Amino acid sequence: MNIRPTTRRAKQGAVAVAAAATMLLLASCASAAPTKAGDTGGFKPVEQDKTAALNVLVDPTRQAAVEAYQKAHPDVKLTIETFDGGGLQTKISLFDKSGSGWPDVVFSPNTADSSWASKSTGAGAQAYAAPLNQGLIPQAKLDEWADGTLAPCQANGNTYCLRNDIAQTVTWYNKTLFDQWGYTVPKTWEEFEALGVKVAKEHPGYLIGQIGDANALDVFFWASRCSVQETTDKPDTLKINLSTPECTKTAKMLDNLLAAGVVGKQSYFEKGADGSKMLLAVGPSWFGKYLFEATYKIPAGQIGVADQPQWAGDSTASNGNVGGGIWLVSSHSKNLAAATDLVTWVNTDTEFQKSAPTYPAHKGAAEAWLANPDNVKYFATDVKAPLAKAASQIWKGWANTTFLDQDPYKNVVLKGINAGKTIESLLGDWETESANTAKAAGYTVVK
Amino acid sequence: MTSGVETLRQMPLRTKRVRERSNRVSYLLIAGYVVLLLAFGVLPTAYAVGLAFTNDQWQFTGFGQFAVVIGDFRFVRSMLNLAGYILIWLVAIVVLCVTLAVILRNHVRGRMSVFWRFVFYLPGALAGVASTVVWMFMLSPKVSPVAPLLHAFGWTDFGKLVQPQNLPGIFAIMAFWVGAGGWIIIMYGALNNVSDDVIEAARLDGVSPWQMAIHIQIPMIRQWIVYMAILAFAGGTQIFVEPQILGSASGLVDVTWSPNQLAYQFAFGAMSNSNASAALSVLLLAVGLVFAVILVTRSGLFTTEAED
Repeated sequence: MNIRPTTRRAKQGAVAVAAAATMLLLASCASAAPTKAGDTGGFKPVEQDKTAALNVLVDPTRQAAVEAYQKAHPDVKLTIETFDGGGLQTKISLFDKSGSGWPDVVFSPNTADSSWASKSTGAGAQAYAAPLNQGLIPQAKLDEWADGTLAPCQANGNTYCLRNDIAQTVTWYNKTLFDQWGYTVPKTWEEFEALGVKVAKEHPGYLIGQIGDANALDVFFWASRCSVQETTDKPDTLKINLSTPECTKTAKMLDNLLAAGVVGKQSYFEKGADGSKMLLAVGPSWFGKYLFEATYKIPAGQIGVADQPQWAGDSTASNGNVGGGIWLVSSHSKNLAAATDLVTWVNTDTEFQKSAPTYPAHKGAAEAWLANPDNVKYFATDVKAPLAKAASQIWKGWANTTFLDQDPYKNVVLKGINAGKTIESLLGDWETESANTAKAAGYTVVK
Repeated sequence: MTSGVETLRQMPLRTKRVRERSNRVSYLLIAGYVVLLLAFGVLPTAYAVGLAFTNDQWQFTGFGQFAVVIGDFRFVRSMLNLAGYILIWLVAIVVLCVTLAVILRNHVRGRMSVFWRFVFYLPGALAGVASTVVWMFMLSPKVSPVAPLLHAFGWTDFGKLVQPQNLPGIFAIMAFWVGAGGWIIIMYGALNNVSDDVIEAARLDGVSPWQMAIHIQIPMIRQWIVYMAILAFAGGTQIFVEPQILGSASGLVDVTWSPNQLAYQFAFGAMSNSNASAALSVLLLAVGLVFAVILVTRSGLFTTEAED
């Protein structure tokens, strides 16, 4: 073969590049890991200006909250920007890189956003979220939030956000059909399973749940205290163990109900889903209005609310939780006083919160919300008692992590059951995927 | 090139000036493009290479970030996904685009040919996100107009369809639908360049349409096909929108399905390590370059007749 000079030159060049690369590799190198681990302290406010305008970033649903604040406080200068609620970390880390432009106040519909916002995104940037308990909001005020609702906001003894709303799980059921067929609402998970088997026989086609989206994870496995990602006494250590009885009994129950065909493999919000066939759904506090009323268009007076089932013989009652939003104040804000006042007001003002779209986390606001007929008149039973009880029973062991708990569940469990496998047989793979995801995000994993 | 310079020397002075002036005008004309290329192409690439070999303090880390990326438990998985997708996508685009272009060139005449080229090009006018949404509608067994066909394959709900083994094919269909039209038209143009004399001579020799395509037309547009393969491969390695949208809609697609999504997660997800993200992007760039170099050297894409 005739080697042309250019080819020879290219070969020599390649050898040189390879040699240089090897030398680089052998040279002593700095750590590849971002410099941020454990960097949660060091909150240094910038020079304050009591008249500085506030830049507020909220989702379209909460725009009304900020506008209501503006109306009540006409002398505060506000600019409102909306976003779809996703990708907040992307936005903030870009501001961290450019060193300016952070919004003073943010509403995020994901509690998980608090876990990264309380840490530096690297390169010595100050953590985005200001620790609100450090001279911004008195502890007495923070104590007004329902027990445990601020847990996702807390890290290293500081409170980095205010919880806007909670999504405690209760039992939603079609009371009209229950009365007609003579069924009683299940009080335990065992009764829940027995009801499912009965429905499968007597009224095939009706469902008592769906597990085709991540809602099922935060309902069944959270409420059963399964260690999918359990908190430990160290903030960066997670307990991940899916072979505990709490996990296996939940998986077995769901497998039986899936096999009977009374629990579906789809999402509750699947296009074309027939909501009139949803006999019962254990789900978050917003299911009533957003799933049964707005999505399934079930007429008023049919849907009832009851306590979420518990495991028989369980000494402590525990409920799940599906999301909930948080308000963050920027540690870079020039007007921390006004920013803090805004987030306090939108969370606690009862006149405004009574018509909030979802169940408020602040106790006083929740009472006002439940007392508002607009929030309860759609339902066939009392709403107040089950929702208030569930709010105080949310299991606190489910860690609020920088990664999404849903990703490993979707990757392993949802894929697996759609391929015909049982959840029980997938627990091992799920545990591995969860542990890998947690480790990649910088967590230490224990069993 | 030397012959060109000699001609220039022999030219009368006036013509030379005209040539120089037109050179200046052409520099001016390409300057706008060059500035944008530097700002949005070359500089970001250089920045990415810089990030890939450092950490967030700009300390040199050698291949440390590449080790982080390759050692990640999702790396091999996303690369295998990508390989499956690219294989289907490349074969589909090369075989189907060339076939359709040949049929269009040889058997469809006049207004019908214009009509079909327009129809083929039409889906390409849809932006990536919109086309993904259209395909999600088409592939939802409950609402799709081709639901009976989906049911015939046993796909009675979305979850059954969006299984890992189907995903490379689904994404290839989505990408093909948007991207193929433009390439069919380019291949058609390439076929038009094949001299009528050659075609005429072959016809007189009694060549069948099949032989004409395989032995005459396709070999004569070989360089165009290689060009298409290189660009399709480079575009294919960048797949992001399709799995991202399908994932957020169905919840059944891994958020790190493609390497580009993994890079996104590195930069903006829980890891928050934009240096590792840059390393993965550089790795993808290297894969695309190697593929291009192999194809270019093997096919002699840039050898001109003068050099031969």
